[in-house]
Amino acid sequence: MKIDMKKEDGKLLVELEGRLDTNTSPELESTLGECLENAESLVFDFEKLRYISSSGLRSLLVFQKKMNSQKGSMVIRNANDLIMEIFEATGFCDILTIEK
Amino acid sequence: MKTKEKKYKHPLGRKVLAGCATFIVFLSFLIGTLGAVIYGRGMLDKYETYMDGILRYTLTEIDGDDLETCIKTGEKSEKYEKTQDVLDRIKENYEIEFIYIVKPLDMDDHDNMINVMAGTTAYEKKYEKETLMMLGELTGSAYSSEVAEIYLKRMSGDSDKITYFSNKTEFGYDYTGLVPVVNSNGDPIAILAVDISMNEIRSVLIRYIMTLLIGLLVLVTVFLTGIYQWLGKRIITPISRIQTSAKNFVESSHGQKDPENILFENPGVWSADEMQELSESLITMASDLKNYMKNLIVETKEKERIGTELALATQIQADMLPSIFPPFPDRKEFDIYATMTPAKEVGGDFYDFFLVDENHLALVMADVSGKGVPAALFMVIAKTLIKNRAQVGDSPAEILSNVNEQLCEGNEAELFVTVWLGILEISTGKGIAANAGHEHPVIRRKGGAYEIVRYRHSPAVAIMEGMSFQEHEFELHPGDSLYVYTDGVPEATNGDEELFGTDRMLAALNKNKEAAPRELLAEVKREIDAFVGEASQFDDITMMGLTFFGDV
Repeated sequence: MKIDMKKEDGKLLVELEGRLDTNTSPELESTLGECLENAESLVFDFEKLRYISSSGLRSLLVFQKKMNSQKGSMVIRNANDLIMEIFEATGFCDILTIEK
Repeated sequence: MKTKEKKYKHPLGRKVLAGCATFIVFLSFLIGTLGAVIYGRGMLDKYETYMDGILRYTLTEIDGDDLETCIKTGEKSEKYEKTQDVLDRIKENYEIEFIYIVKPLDMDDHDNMINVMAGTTAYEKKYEKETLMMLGELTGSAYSSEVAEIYLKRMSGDSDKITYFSNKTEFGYDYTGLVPVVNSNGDPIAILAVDISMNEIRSVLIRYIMTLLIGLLVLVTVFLTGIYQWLGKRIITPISRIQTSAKNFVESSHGQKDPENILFENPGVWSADEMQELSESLITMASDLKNYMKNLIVETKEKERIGTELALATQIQADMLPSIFPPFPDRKEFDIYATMTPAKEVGGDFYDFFLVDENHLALVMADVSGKGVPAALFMVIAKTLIKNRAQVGDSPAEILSNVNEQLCEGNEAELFVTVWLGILEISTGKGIAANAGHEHPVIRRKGGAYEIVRYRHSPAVAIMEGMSFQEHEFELHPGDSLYVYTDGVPEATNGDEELFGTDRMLAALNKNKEAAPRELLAEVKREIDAFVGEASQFDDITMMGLTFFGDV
């Protein structure tokens, strides 16, 4: 998986490419970990993300709760159909802010 | 450990020595040749000056016109006799082989010149009369045609220049100087020549080269002995010591399990140069390797211990899932079968089924986010909580809501679990199910095909506190079948990163749709395996099948 991160003021834009699964989600969590401190908004661009596993969902949950706790926002953009299906099936679409 | 000294075919010392010897021999040859050429040239220059003096002096003593007449008539004049005298004296007093005057005629190989005059010593006049030369006599075979050509050419051109050439005669190698004798008109009438023997030059040269070679040989021997001793002391001995240590080390460490048995003797090189550094590096390397091996053994043991514990955990986890089939031998109303294939040693998937009471069968299919030990631990808690709540008699939504609260408590790792939970009333086939973020179940009505049944989802369990879960009713009629599974089935991935997908899953189910759950699950697993091929399994694959027969 490729992680492309851009930080501007309190805004963090993260582009992911490949698969977000058991093998890659720890990397995402450690990469984003510190950057997330004091961030006002976190935007994930999933245009190039092909697949997300339950481990990936768990990472998103961690980020969402982190952002909630520091009163920031988290948005997911451009998720493909498969990922949208997974979001819907797992009920994550009720918890995450997903922009089409 | 005693090691046998291995003899190499081309030891280092001999190679260096052979290289030096070859180089020096080549150098000697070069110096010898150059020396001989330069020395020889110097000798010839000296002789040329010598001959030059003789020739020029002699020319002053010759009257060209008179000599021309003498040659024509064959009669010796008074001046001829005088010149003869000069030549005789020169022959007597100078270190020359011959001094003579000839008249070249042609370039034949015989009788190509006419003898005019030759210097003769008193000794020759007395004892070698028969060899004395007569005026006007043809030279017979004394001069080859090549030599005659040189003489003939000298009859024309610059009369002042002396031509030198070397030539092999019956007396050995000669070096000859030629100058034309001219008459008063300046026309050449004969050739005045002086021969000196090259034999002496040659012997001097040979002496020179021999001396040079002997000198070089002595020098080379001394030099090579020195180099060999220096090499031996400074390079070969240290290298072979290091090599012996290294070899013993390699032999003692090869296949060695106990690092204490690995030997590395200090090569004992104290030359304060690169050799010592090499030796010290090897000592450090050997000790590092020993330590590394010790650490590795400790770590391997630790890893083995963890491996054993993981295997045990896998066993415990497997034992937690009902695995004795048929589970309820005296219940003829349904047939149930389930399998789990973990991707790693311990997985996050689980299934469960149990009788809540005589008339209610609870069915659980769940998938904990993540894999490995954390997921397995979470799975154990989730499974236990669900079973406990179900046995109280709660409805699926109540069970999940209750379990959600308990799982959210202190869930720092943010793990969650997707659950499909159904409770079937065995007597009627009516059931209530809740789907917390899990895959849609598949149902086959009697005589029909397997189809996915979609109900609205609730979010997965343990995502957030205070969530409520939806439940819905369903009904199974005798002959109907139910198939539930985790995402490991549709998301099984092949080498081209294609997903197995629900379409292939349904196709696999419908391939032998009348089959009992056990055969049905085996069929789906076979299809998945065939699809995935050599690719590694990403996720746990868990399936449960139930065929409802009703009250029989």
